[in-house]
Amino acid sequence: MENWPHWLVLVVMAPLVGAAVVPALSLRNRALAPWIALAVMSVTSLAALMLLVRVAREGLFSYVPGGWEVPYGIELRFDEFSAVIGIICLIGWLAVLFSVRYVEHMPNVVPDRIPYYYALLLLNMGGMIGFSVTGDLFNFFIFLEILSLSGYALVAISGERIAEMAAFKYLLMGAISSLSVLFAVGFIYGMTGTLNMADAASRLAGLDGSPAAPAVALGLMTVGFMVKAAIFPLHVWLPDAHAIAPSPVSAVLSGLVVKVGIIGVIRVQQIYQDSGVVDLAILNQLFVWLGAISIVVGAFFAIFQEDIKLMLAYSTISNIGYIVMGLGLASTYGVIGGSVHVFNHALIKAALFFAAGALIYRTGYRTLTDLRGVGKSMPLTCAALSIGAISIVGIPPTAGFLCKWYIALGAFEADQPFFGFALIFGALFIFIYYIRMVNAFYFLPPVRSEVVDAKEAPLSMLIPTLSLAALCLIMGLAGRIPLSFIEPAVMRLLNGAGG
Amino acid sequence: MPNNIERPRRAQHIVAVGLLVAVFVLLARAVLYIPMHDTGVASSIQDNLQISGVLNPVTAVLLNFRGYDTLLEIAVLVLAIIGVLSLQREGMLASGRLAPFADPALSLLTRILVPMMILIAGYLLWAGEKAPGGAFQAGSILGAAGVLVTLSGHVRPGWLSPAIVKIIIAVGFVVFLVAAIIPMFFDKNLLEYPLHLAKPLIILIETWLTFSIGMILVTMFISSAAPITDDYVRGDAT
Repeated sequence: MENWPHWLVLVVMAPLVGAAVVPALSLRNRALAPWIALAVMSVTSLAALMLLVRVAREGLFSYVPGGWEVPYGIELRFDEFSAVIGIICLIGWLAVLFSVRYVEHMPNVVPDRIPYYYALLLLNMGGMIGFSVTGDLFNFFIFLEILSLSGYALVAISGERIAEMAAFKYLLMGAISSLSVLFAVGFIYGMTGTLNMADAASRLAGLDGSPAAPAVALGLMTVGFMVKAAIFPLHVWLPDAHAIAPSPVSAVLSGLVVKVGIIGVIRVQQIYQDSGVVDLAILNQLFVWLGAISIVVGAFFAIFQEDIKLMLAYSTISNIGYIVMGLGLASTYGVIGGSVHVFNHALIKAALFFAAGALIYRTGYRTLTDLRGVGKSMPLTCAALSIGAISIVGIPPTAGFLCKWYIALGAFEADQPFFGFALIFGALFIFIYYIRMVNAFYFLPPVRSEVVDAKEAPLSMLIPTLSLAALCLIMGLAGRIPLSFIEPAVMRLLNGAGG
Repeated sequence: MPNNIERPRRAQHIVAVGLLVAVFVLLARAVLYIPMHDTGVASSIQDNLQISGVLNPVTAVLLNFRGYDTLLEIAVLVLAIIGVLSLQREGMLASGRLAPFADPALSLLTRILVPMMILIAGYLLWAGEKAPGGAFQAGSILGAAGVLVTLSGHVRPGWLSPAIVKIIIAVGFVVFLVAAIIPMFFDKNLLEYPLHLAKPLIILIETWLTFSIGMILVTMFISSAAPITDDYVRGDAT
């Protein structure tokens, strides 16, 4: 069943088509919108599952729309890194479920616009999935646009006081990054006359003349994706955008959308590693440094935040730092750790944002002081939040531990032990601010009566929050599975053999 | 905007401009260093042109060889308009005039220009099969005609009901999508048109895309423009 070739098209097209269907079918009855979106995400998830089974059985495979051959046709390509669509579908599905009650009761959202909210969420999913499974450079850019544009609108839709400003800041930075990616695609086409990634890699290898133009293209791509991934110093748009967005959107943006930048960096590295036209060592060393700085800067700013969502947003900057550090180390352990952290951080951060969203939904407050004592009135949500916190600090046996352990091992393997220590130092910082949060929720005397009287979150919020928290624990124990799954792809990437 | 945000200083301007010039010089130099290639996919496109259904290579690439990208580009346009509709103020699509009736000169010009624009859009659409042209060009001219008509006060944005506007916005994407998916039921890949149907399908898709693109552009314009106030309309009507 997993060999049906069209799963690869279905997984991309289902959410995009669904986005058009949701507003159309819910013209008469708004309440239908979330359930249609949930059905669409179910179909998408089924397709993703089939693709995961297939890639685990037979490795890389591809599909050519229109039946036109590569390189003048477009190629959809599914490799081990594309398996990130599994987590995109999981969190997407849960985010839709979480939104059912959350969005309905957001104070500043006009009810007529709610179907558009689900359409935008589905477009965002479709954009990320398409981005992860394409083997064509221009197609890559189009999906980058789909997921970015829907991201800007999803930030603005919350209607909070500074939502439009946050979305505009996100849009400005995002537009610059998209342009630089497009420019680089033009460069690569100019140099090689092809848009297919694998074809471009082999033609770049045969290029004679100065490496200046390929190097500039590499630089432009990297800068573009660094903005999307919010790597220091290109992270300035992230905190406001992720904190202001509706909480299920925050979970998607922080857990998934920033990872698109990481996938982009990996794809570019695949092209350049294979062609060998530019030495990647300098770029990798830059990634290691920027990763280390991101870890410390993100953690440092998070300590001073009162708003729990801002705190979580800064923590995303730290975690992206871990990932790029792992990739930049270019050692087997480091890259495996970094790649798997793409997956694990998505689980953890989505769990945390869902829990934070449930707290805000029930109490109406979002700062540490206001939320004191909420651990007694909303025990399940706060338990999930605590598991997420333990996991993100990297305490065994949680999902966060294994990746950070691998990245630290990678630092020693690459003979750069300094960064191993930087990583542990960063984890201590992160520990401090999550301890502050747990302390406020469980041990400090409450200041708000609404918080004391709050009811536990509704089921449509508890299910996503608790199931992700449970996965944080399960992935800590079963962590070897993703590690060994991604290993062959990482070996191909590092050895430059047709990744 | 709060008042306490300082305006950028002169020195900041100089640094910013300097940085931009440096980036520009770097990019321009790199463009000049792009090595020439004589291979690439251009020759494959020419070789396969006769089985693409159309004679213009640009149209063949857009609608057939890389039809997947074009389908997604339309999705981007639809997405942009969904984004705008999800953020606009209440009932903008059904609101009042954007401008008072134009003075006689503009009014006359509009009456002459708009039919011509429609004619040119039709020509571009038809020519796209063998010469430069096609749905995107035709659609933008239709869009411009729509903007002209609303700006000169001839037509109120609410002239078409919001439901009809939304249907026209979606129709291009839907037709393209259906044409893309049908081959999958006949054991072909997405977008794999049968050879003898390629030409009529491409023309069908382009026609509907033209209407959708035009409507998307007009709607985007209307949604971000402010209608004139009631006082203004009343004063103008006398």
